[in-house]
Amino acid sequence: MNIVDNLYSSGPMSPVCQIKEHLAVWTETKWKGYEVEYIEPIPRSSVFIVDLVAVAGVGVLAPAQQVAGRLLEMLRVNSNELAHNRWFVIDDIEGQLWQLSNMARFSPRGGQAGVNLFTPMYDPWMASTTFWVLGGLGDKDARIGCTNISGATIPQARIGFWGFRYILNPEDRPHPNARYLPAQGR
Amino acid sequence: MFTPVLRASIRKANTAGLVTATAGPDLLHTLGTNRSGVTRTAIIRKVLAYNNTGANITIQLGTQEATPLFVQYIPDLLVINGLENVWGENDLPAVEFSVVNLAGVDFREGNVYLQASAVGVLVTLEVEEFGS
Repeated sequence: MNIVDNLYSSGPMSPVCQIKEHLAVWTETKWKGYEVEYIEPIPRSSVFIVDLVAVAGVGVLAPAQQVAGRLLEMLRVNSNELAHNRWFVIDDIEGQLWQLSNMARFSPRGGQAGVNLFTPMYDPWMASTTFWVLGGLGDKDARIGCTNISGATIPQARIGFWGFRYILNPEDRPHPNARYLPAQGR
Repeated sequence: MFTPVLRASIRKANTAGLVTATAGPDLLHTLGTNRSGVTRTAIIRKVLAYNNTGANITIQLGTQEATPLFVQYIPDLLVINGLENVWGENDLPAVEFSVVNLAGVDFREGNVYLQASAVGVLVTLEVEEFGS
């Protein structure tokens, strides 16, 4: 059974809190407090699948060729909204995530991890791909890039997202019962 | 209940697609390489070959040394004229194509090559890749 306040625990995705509960979001190197006003799911759907080859306008992606991290329209959120995402790849690529323009996510000292076709074989619900985007940061919220790891030239580099959308009321400081979560790396 | 996948793999068509044999060797499949430069390995799971040249043709599957020189990995397959010739997982040994980073003639590229006894046979593969 999945608990409602999980952040990264394996299993199906669920909201990290309930409506009218409190969040503390790590962004721009500080914790910001919010009350959750509304939550709705964003199911896996065609609208939230992007082809980075098309977005980059490169035609095809040669072996080992990269698409640099770029702001995706589907990942933008309004001010005082929070996107709670998991993601997956459809083609034989490895996707990478940056937040606040250039801060590498999933990034221990040894390198920046990514998401590829093998990821769901070890993590079928893609829990380890979870990230949050807090709106109102000048559209620098989240950038996605990829590398062709297939060994062949590929015509598409598709990545998809699903998750939840939260509407937030800002608070002066994090509530004592707030659920803490990061919307950028550190 | 999820069972951990200890040796995950993906199946895909050969990267070169439909290849018409020349004097050879002809590249059939290039192994994928991950972002840190580690090359995948691959096992051929299916061979589909069509021969309409008027005579039977034998094909060999293998890789290349550095020179480059074809190195056969799987015994000859007879591609009968006028017939679609199919070898599946039950027929093919699980030879794992892998880069071998030794110097000189001991180097192995790991990519899958075709060496045919005559030109004109059409070949595609299905491979299972490991390691990203």
